[in-house]
Amino acid sequence: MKKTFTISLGHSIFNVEEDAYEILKRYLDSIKNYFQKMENDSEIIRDFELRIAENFSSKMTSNKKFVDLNDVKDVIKIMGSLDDFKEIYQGDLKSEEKKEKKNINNKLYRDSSNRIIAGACSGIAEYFKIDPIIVRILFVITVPLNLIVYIILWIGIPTKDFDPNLRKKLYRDKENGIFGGVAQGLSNYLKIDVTLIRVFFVISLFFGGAGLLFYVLLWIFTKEAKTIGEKMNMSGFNVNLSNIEEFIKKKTNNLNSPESTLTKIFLFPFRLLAPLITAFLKIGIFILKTVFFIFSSIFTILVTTLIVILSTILFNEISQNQDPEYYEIINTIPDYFIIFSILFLVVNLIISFIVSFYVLFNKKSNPYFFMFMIFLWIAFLIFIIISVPNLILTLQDLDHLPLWKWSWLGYDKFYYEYKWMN
Amino acid sequence: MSSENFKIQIRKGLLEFCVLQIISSKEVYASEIIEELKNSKIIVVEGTVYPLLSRLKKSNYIQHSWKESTQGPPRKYYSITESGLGHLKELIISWTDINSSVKKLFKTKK
Repeated sequence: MKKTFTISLGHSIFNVEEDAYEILKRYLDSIKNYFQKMENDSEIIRDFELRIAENFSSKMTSNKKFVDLNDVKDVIKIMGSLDDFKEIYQGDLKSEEKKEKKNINNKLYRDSSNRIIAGACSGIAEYFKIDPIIVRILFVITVPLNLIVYIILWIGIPTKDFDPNLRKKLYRDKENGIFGGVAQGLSNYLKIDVTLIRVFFVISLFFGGAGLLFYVLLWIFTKEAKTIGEKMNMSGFNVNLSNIEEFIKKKTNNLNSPESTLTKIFLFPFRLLAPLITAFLKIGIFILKTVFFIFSSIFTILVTTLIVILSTILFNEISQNQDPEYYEIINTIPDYFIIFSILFLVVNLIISFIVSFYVLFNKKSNPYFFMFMIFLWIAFLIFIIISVPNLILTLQDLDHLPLWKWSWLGYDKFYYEYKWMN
Repeated sequence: MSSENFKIQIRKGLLEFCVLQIISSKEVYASEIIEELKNSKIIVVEGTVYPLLSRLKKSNYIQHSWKESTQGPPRKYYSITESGLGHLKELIISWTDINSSVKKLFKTKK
């Protein structure tokens, strides 16, 4: 069974099988990208599409209703790949291509085509021609410091759409991997033998486990290559016939180079461990999620109760006769302080809901909304922190709060008089 | 320079000339142009023709019109313009010049 896509190409409609669609799309994208450097490009692309459509419709019969991989392969064979065009149009494009490259290199953009929050990391990665994941991990590791840098980048840099198909991307290659396919993915990306990377990871285990941390981070941050397009992106494929052939061959055989006995012996304990560890990981993630759920529930209940208490204080008038002491305390606490506390708690609730949804159900919220909430949270927090000393002083003046006596000699001499009860 | 490279250079130089020549004889649509070029082994893949057609159109040497076809969507038919004919004449002159001088060169060598 295969999924099909319905596409409109050169005034006609075709049903294209998934793998064929991926390759056709990459092919057209690469052509578009190439001829964009010439003027009148849309016309060239339209001519291409028209001709491909003609070819497809000549192949469709009453028995054959789908365009499959072989049809696409035939079309690319007939139309030619980028390498063929480059031969002919090399001279015409060289100067423009160089100019273009220079322009991109000279400027830092935020990448709007591949972003999590604002595309700053991805933009930096595009600038240095490396994978965004590496920049993201660096950002996460150095987080408090980098938040400021990130926000400055967000405000100061314009966005730009980069063509994601032309970028080599780091994926996890689970098909050929042992645990999560991180090492195999790295090997595809860096074009280094996978055994070498695995040896590196294993050795780094004995030196404080930095490799383990790196492995886990990469595991969390990288996507598994699932579609053909992603698998081709893994090693930076450019669409041409030999690539596709090679790729299909690889897919059907699913064999990389045969492993040597040494590699087999070396990998044997890990192959044994792998299912165990994956099982443990799954259980661990489940337990963590449960614990998280319990804590977030408790947190939610606590915060909600606090909100309820504060709002009753705010809205319910208590007569002086009922409870004079209590009345006075409440009166000295200014209304605005209570209002801001309530708002602060509400924002807290919203943020915790967003985070819980993300952790438990993997559902992302609107990043702008989330950032706005964080901003509000910080603003309210600052306000509360500023007003607290004032509040304490007024309460102390009215003898509602114990007097703190500060001693800078040591914490053991730090005490306060407890006048609360009398 | 390998012989393969030599072939590419020659083909590249002659492509525009050949396409203009084909269009000048009658109103043709892209597939016919491609068919003829393929038969005479000027091009290997079809894709190379489209950028050239677009460029020729930009320089006003050819024009196109849409015509209904009996099967499938309408087709784009190309025809040569006045300035295109003039350009072709110039090309023919320079081609015969080069051709005869190359021939002469080979004759004297023999």
